Amino acid sequence: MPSYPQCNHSEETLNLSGTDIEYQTKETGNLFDSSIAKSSEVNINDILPEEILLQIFSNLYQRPDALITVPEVCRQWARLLHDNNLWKSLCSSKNFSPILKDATNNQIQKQSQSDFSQLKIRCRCNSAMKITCDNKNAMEAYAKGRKRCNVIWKGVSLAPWKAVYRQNYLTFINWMTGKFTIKPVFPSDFSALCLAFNENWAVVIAQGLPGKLINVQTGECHMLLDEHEGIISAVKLEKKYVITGGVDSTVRVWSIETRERLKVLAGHRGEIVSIQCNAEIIVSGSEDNEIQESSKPFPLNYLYLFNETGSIDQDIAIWSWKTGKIVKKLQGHQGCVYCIQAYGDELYSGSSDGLIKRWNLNLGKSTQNLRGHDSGVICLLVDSFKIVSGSGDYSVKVWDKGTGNCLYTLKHHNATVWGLNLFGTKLMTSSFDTSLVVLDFAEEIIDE
Amino acid sequence: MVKITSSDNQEFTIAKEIANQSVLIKNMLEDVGEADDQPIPLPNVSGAILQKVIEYATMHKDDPPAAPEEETRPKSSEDIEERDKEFMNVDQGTLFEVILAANYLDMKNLLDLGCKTVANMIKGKSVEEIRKTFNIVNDFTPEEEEQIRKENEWCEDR
Repeated sequence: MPSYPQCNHSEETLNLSGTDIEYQTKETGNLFDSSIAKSSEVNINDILPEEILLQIFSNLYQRPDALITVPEVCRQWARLLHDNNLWKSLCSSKNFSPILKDATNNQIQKQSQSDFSQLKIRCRCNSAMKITCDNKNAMEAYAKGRKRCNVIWKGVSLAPWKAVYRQNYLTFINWMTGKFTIKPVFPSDFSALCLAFNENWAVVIAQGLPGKLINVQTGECHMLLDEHEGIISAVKLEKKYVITGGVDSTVRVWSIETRERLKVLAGHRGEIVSIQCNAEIIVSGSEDNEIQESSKPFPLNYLYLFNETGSIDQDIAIWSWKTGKIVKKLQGHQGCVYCIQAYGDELYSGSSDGLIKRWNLNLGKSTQNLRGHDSGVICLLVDSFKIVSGSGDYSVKVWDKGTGNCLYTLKHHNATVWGLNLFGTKLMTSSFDTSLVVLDFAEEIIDE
Repeated sequence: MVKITSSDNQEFTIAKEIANQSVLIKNMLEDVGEADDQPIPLPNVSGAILQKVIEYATMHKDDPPAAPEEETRPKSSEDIEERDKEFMNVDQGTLFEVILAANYLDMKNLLDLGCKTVANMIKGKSVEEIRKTFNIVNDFTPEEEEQIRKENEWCEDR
């Protein structure tokens, strides 16, 4: 008999120690004899060792329906489907990682209770599920939002990685069906406009006042960004740094830690409209129709990150870092291109013509138009299964990346949607109505 | 050329690049050296199945080694090549034996293919259909069945 290697049950991540399973080694005689019974009489469990059964089950990662059927087949399969390593491998195939409930949630919630009680929130998910609560307490909207998360789990003890799979899968379902909780960070009558934000920081500007860096969790001003002549027109938050561009055509780099301005980058002759950066380089776009890099030599693997630029002239230009020349132009939009997102060998662009175009970069061609917005598409996000877009029609739309169909439309803003960001299971949206809002697609799941 | 013999003493002479697709045989060849003309005994694989395995190895002898980015890409049981699907279109007894042989001979691609094929036989079937397909007897008590169903409720609200 061949000897089957023992499965390794070591757990190295997050103390997810699971139920160990005693593997049974088959002692069923010479299975390889050609006199073996034909298919109609073969019991799979008498022939295949559990290690191979587990490998078969690990191929079912795309099919939660099959994963729930399998343990109902027989005792042995039920026992195997409690294998923590199996679920770990299923999670890894799906790129599922543990969803950690962070401490910031409660703080945001507290803040919204005390400071933003007059918030207007309209939150419409799809025609079947409508929530409208104008001029009401934000917490009420929040509470109603919670009720939408109707996925209920009656807990039984699970292999930890099974729980991870469950959480991620349910979060995915919530994303596809539009179930979420909603919390405001800044209300829609906030005195300043949020230009850029991430989970921790937001840069806000107001006419006649210096720009401010605000701690999203406490709502307090962390530092003033007060050197630009005139207003800040572009911001990039990058880890410990804030990079600002102004109508004064300068780019400035600030340290969040020390609350100091570190660098002034001059050279543009027009208003700075866009800033991107990575660890090595900062790229700025300006109304003087030029793109500048402020850089040390850049490694080639960063090429992809920043080598597409949107422009006001309806085309998307793909630039080569090596030569500094345009290698390809993507033409097709009927309006100016506001935003672009690259994902794999695809590029997504949003334009003032209200369309999101999907481009195949290898072919250099548009492969699909996503129609639905009644006004220009200002901002875009793309990940493995969804596209999120914000528009001048005041709405945020979530699209199925596979089919290109719009899954649902979110109408919680009262003005043009200006910014989008994804953090784990959360979507943050900002708008010219001055509000900044967090939508959490997993909170209810983790709570239970 | 390499000589191998099956459990029922059938001898096969195959090209080395075909034999080397089995990590077991490859290691054996490295251990005994080139000069040895003795056939390699494979007491766990019958002649009929070995024939099938050689057929697979011959079909894939010109495959490029898996590119690194392909290894990181999650494998999906949907993306089976047409010729592999054809190859695996056999009765269940043979299918399971090929899987066991692949496991024994340490042929990862063939083992993957076999497991994907069985996984595809599970997909989209009801519990009863799966039991029928694989000749599995329901050995649950009614209470246990109830318990399992309860555990699975999270998946049902789709």
